[in-house]
Amino acid sequence: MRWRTTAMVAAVVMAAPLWALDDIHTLPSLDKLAQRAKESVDVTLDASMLQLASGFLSADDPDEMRVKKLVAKLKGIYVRSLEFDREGEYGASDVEGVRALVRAPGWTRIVGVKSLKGENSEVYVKKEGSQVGGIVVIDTEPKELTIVAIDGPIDPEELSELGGHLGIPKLGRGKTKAEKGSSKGDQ
Amino acid sequence: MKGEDERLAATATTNAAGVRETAGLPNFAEVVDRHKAMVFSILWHYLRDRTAAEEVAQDVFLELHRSWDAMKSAEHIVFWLRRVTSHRAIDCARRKRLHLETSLEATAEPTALERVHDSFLSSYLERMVASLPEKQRIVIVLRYQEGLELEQIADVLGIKISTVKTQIFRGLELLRAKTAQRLGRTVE
Amino acid sequence: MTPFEEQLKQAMARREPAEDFARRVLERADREGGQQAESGGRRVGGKRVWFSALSGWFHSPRVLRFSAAAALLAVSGGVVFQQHEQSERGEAAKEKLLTAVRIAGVKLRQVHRHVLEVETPEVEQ
Repeated sequence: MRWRTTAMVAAVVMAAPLWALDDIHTLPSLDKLAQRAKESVDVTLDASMLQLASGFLSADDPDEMRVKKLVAKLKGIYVRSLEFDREGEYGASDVEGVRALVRAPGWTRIVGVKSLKGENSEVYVKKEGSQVGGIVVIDTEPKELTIVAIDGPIDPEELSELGGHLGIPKLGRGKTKAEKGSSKGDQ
Repeated sequence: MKGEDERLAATATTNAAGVRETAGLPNFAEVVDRHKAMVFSILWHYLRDRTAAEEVAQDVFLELHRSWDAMKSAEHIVFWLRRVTSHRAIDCARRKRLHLETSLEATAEPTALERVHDSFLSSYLERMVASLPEKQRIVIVLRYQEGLELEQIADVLGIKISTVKTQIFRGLELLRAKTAQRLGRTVE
Repeated sequence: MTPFEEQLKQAMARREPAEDFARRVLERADREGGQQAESGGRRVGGKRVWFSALSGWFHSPRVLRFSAAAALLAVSGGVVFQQHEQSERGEAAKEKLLTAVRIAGVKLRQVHRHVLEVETPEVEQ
């Protein structure tokens, strides 16, 4: 009977999530990559640091107030952005650790885009009822890798509203291939 | 100068606060309003501590209030404020043993971000200035915040013009080197 | 001026203190003016008569308060330094937060643009 109990406990433990979103900042593969990067940005803000930071946002600055509203309920923000001198400094296996985090239950890939220039982007969201409970963006370019993980309820629309502020380019709707083709035909 | 002092003294009256008001000089309240940004900003850029900057700024103006009798002209007041503020900034930093003069690597956030928006460079530069050695920091603040010429900086701080030149040169070299390192590009 | 110096000048732009700064300075100046009157010192030709000034000084409320203030100084010095450290940490955290939000916004924008423009979009629901 004892071995059955042990097996059951082990099964429960193994089934429980062994990771949390803040594990992104401790992934060994990213630390190794950072050592080879020409430039790296590493931001790790858990709930307490977010609260501290939020308290220093200026009430006189509308942009900073927008940020304050955006992050009010978040549990964490983690960013790893690495820029390399040459192409080929990292591969798919280096990013696999991050992808493993978002294969857990509750996460859904909502966008997967590949471009001919070798720029690939994936966006994952964690659904909690009708709300978004987290966002992960994995952006890979030949010489740049960026991972953004936002833990907590966030409104992607609010993040979009920052367009035109804080140095984030406004979203100008670019022409799709179909639109480009039809305009050529008009000539 | 002595003749001018006598002329100014003859036209002085004493207001309710016991401060002599001299014709031609603005009153104390006007001076505070007109120059509070200047005084506060020198302290802010030097100390990078808003609370400390406001406290010391208040002390500077109270010192001016106590020394009002000695003020000769509006220009003299500005000179006096810059001088006292600069010295108080240096004293305050030493007294608090603020560890602002640390390795710039320790203070700077890696900035792939500068490629996104140039305005971030401004706040980065502000922080870098605050981490310069004491003498370089104050001359850089007086030069680029107040737009003072080298001779004026030398007068305010009571040092030689050659010293001002050297400190500005060294300060700029250090700022350029660290900025270029972070941005990964040559800075003119 | 070189472009770098122009950028530095921009970074060194003056900032305003708190809105009530001037009011607080004038209030303190008024209080000090009143305390000078209480001290009993007389101004004669701009100079105090030294013995009346000295007597006034000893009886000055300021001197009496000084002793108590000195005792508090050691404690308050530590508190002020802690406040300074907290302020430094907070400002650094704020910079990191703004960095993270900028990068997140830029990347989401790029993804949206890719969805509109790239050859092989796979947009899933």
